[in-house]
Amino acid sequence: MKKHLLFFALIGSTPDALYATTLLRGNNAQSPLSSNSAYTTLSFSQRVTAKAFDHTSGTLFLGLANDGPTSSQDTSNLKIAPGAYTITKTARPAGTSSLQATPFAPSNLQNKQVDFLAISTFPENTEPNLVVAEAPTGDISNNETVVDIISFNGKITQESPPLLGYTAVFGAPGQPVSGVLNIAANRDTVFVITGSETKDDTQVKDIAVLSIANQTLQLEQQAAVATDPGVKAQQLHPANFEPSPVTIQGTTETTQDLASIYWDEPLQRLYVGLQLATAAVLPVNPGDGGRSVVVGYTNADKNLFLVDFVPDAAVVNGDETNIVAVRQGGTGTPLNVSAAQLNVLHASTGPSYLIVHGGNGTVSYYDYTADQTVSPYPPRVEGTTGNTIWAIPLVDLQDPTNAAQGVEANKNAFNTTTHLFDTPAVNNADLTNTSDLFAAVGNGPLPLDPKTPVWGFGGGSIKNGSKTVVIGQNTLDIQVVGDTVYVAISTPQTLTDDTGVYYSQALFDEEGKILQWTPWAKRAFPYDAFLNTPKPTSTVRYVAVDPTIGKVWASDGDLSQTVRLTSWTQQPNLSTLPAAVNTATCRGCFSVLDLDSSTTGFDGNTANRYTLFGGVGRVIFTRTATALSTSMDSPQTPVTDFADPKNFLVSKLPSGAGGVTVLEYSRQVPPNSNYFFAGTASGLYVFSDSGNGFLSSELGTLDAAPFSTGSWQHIDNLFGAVVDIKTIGNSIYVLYVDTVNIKQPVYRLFRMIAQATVSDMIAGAVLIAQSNSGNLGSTLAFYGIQVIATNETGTQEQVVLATNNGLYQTATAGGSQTANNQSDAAWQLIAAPGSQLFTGIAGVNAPVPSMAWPLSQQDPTGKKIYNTGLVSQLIGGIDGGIAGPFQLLPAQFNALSNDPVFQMISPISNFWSDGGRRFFILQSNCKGLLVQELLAMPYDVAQWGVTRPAVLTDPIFETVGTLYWIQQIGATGIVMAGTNSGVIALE
Amino acid sequence: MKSKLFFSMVLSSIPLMGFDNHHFYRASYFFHEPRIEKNWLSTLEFSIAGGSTNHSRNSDGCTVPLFDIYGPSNFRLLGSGVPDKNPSNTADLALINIANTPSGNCFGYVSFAGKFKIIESYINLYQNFKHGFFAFINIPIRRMEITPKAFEDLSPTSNNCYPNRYTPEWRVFLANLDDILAQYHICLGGTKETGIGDVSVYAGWTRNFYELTEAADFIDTTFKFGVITPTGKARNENNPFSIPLGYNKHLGFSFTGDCSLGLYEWLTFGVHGGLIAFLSRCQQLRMKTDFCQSGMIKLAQGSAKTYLGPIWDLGAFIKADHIGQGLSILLAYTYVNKGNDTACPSDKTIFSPQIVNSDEALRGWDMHNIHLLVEYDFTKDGMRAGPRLGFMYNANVGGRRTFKTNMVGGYVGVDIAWQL
Repeated sequence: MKKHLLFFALIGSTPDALYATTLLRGNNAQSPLSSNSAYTTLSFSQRVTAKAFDHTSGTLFLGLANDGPTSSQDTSNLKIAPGAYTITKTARPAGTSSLQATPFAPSNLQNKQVDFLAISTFPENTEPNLVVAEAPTGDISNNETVVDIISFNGKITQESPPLLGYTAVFGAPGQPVSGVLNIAANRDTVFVITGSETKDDTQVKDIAVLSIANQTLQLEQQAAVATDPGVKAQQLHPANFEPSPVTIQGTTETTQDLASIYWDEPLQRLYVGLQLATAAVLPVNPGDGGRSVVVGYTNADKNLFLVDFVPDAAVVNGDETNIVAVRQGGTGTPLNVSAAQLNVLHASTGPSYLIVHGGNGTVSYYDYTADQTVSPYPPRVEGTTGNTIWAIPLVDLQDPTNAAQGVEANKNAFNTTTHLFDTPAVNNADLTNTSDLFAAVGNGPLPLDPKTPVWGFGGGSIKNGSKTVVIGQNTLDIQVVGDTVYVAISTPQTLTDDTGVYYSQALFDEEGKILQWTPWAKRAFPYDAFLNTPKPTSTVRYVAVDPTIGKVWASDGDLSQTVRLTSWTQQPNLSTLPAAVNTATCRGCFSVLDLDSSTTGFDGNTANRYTLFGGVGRVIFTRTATALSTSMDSPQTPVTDFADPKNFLVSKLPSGAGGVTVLEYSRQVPPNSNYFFAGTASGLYVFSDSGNGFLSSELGTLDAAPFSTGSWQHIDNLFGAVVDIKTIGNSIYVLYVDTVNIKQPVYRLFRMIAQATVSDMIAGAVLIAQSNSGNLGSTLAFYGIQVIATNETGTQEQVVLATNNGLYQTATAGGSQTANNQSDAAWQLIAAPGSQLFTGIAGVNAPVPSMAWPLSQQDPTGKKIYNTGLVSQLIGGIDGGIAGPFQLLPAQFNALSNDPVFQMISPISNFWSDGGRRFFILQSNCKGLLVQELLAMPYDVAQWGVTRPAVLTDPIFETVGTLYWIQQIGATGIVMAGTNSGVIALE
Repeated sequence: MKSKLFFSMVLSSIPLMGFDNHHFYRASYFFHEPRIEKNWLSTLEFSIAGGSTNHSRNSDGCTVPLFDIYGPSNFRLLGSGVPDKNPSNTADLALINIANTPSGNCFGYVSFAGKFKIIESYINLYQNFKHGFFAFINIPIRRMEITPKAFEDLSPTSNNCYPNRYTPEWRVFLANLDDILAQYHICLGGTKETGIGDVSVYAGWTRNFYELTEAADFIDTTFKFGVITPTGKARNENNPFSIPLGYNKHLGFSFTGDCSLGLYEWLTFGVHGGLIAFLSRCQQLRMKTDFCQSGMIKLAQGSAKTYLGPIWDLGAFIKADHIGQGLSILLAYTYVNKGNDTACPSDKTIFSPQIVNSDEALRGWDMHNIHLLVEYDFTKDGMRAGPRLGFMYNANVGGRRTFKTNMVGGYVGVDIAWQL
């Protein structure tokens, strides 16, 4: 009873959503005026129109609209004047403290609509200032366009002078502009993309530069043009000067008023993105072209210098693969290139990449500039690139004063010493293109129809004469955290569109460059988190991932009035996955196997996604999601009814099996046969249909074959306890420990090939490693294995083995999947033991993994205590299947810091990361009953304001004795952790 | 009359036991009654008592197998934080691997049972001077025998739990346990120790008030201050079950106060309070290297300055004095409390002071004692020397972190009045 009370206490007085996400309480929750209880699940009485998330302080700033509910809502009295809630501030939560948005808008911004927010800060600053761009209101023909800045404590507010655009008149101030298209800021500068609609509807975009006074925060527009003392903006488009950072050769056309802007603090560079066509009217001259990305920087006088992101000469006429630039090949239809949103990823291995939403083509959008008599209004303008996100290497010379800093790098010139790209792209062959594996974030398009408008909802407006023209915003919210790109899709799920928060993680090659990306297979936020809102959808308008606590903020994408944060729970709602698993694993859940949409063999064969959980003498099969088709990128709907035998199956192992500590699936592409594997201290168990394998296309509901007809059988031929089982779809590797000689057990690694029958499969098992023998003669114990793919399709591989005597890899010519004995395997040392003891190796959730995370116990004192934990990053590579060279980069992956506190954490028993969020299960110093602890810690601790590792203190951990694993569960959006009494969930 | 009164008062003073008295491993002795204020009075006493037990009280006051006094031993983490482990050594590797195995359901815990036997005697010598001042020497002699039994594995026996006693890492660890212990020079065998304890030397002052009222015969008060010298043999750090013969070589200082009230010429009530404080000392010590280690066995050894927690006691008694000729019967209660010990390790890179001092064995203990004494006084009127013979029973009736050893014994004593 006590436990149940605790569960409810953990999520508030009553659950207000299917999942445990915690509601951010704003002005609506404080004063719910509607009798409809559903409205109490809204955070705000207005739409959220802008978001800014400060990484260092963990502060979430939200800007609101000044409208009320839409007419479709039966809430005539729901609207509350936003007042100071026009802008809210929410601190990073600690434990289960209630989430309360603090009203933050100064008087001059109250009851306005916020179009854009930007953070003005600097590294390690925990009190950032907030820059605000409001929407024009009232009699806008006389309004002046300004931006505001608010100090972190709200005590200082400054409004800028009216923003001035560009003028060619030397020394003269620019003309007032009509609106703000986007903003960015750094510690002492605000960058504003201004928009002006001229009488002939020519769209003019400039970049105004405003300085921020140190103490007073006074905003003052600067003379952005270096050679001109007049206070004016730097011209962006149309750029009638040469050389232009946008235009190549001729005159380009911006096809929409979208403009993205991003300030990157490490590179000290400003990036601006546009959507361009090579010309407004035909015919187009061959060679005319444009760049969708502009890079800029300022000097001490706040002059803004815009630099060609790629040189004109590198762009070949008619080449539509260069992502950020294009030149007309002939006189035909104008070519397009888009950069609807920009961000920069600073990889854990060193290099930096520009993240670009768009590419060659246009993004789909709602055209608010169209005649309002058009029905439906606004009309859809369908594009081709709204579902693609690209990564482009950037030059990083570690020198902001160098003009080449931050431009597109030569993809073929990587400095393997500094692990940076330091050579600008000069020729076409240097440019990143759409066929480059490393460039395709998500390993392909988002699960989204490119024709679905991703631009046009929400704020963003400029004045045109006496009217306001809504130009919209990018409705894909992109956040880069660590090595991962998170994307919130705010359009509803359809037959061709998925929704929610998906992520893709960078995978690195042996040099530290991005090799490829994980597919868009897992959600980071629960699918049905907004279930109880008045118009429940699973869309997410804004996302903010906070790796310091491992939690995710999200606002709904329909009403845009609800903001929730994921929370830890043991799940009082009995219909959900964690609760169902808990009913079957009350004596502990020791292992998990998540088979998401990217599972090798699933694509084109099954529309079902599964997660397996290992308990005592049993394996729990769950069908966690279903896709609309068998295609890997098909929209996925999580399953919620686990009382239905179609979705939940408890399969028992033969008597005496014990706890299932290892799970694996054979991941075979037809026509090979598939099996599930379970490892226990009693040996290896195989799930088969009367000894026969099954095709992945047969994987359906759990009440049908092969699940309903299959059973687990013990493999008698191979004896010992199972330590690990791994496969990426080629060979299946089974690591045993044989304790016949109890004082000195023998570890053996077998390789086998999936065959049509279990007996054939086992009969073909070959021994490829044995402790204390051959070239592993000085090893006494094997702790774990991971399989590293060594070609792009993952058909060749090498095995990495963590031992008491260092980290080893196979070096089999052609790949370890061909090794027939230990000699073939050609084990070679990656990392000598030295002062470290490799005790395990964690894997990355990827169908073709090129990396892994070895876990070791360190001996920093030199006294052979081995009492601190370290995770390293082992990067492999595509080398045609020949061995390595694998390397540890970074070798110290606990944190990007030399502070010893980050290297002195307790030994790590498990580690999981999606590239952004990183969870460490620590063998901690016990406090009461707690003997293991969960640590959430980003890699770039300075960026996130982490000064020392701090284990999670949510009350749920007081009920947990042991943590065995932690894992994101497919498309459900739930992170689950196995404990000695079942599972807990972050959802 | 005067002489009769004198002898009566002498006889009312049942012997005080040694000041090396309070120990966790057996019930404490009765404190004492106030000393007679008689110039040049001498007293010589000899006591002998013994006891044995198979049980102790743990930190919750629950009765447990003898060597689970500090909780079952967490062997899973026996090697955690221990220096000089060599991963290429099979025994060390077993130690490392078991520490990396998940915990849960008492996995990796063992219970140590055993037997404790003690025989001890005290020799007490008092010499009064003038004006109530007196001196006192106490010499304890002990023989302690410890016989541990094979430990009991508390790990789950069923495969329905994970991990359990069939988990490979645990089996390998147990198979290598002898080698591990030998490597760290630890012997789990029994011990027999005989020797002198901590000799105490005291100076005291006593005052007796007689014939106060018709009912109240006397009020006696005594204060003593003394030194407990570290003459007892120290604990053998290589044997986890070893017990020092005294206060483990710590020099102690003791102060006590006693008061009694005599009524109706046969009934006496008394109270007692005492305190022993110890000086710190440096020693080689087995210390914890992980918060979660528990039990008697610790592998890591290092130098540390140890501060022994103070001991204080409070007691009260009621006595039927000289009922039926020379027979007296006394019933008393004593509460004894020992404060936490503290160790300040020299090498803080290996031994975290926080971890070291989280050791249950360093935590204090407390004990509730009931004492029963029956004494026969052979003194007759006019005798200079007053011989007496007594029987005593001291029972440990409650407390924490103590052996449940009750003591049975007897004593003889003689008071010699050099001036009648």
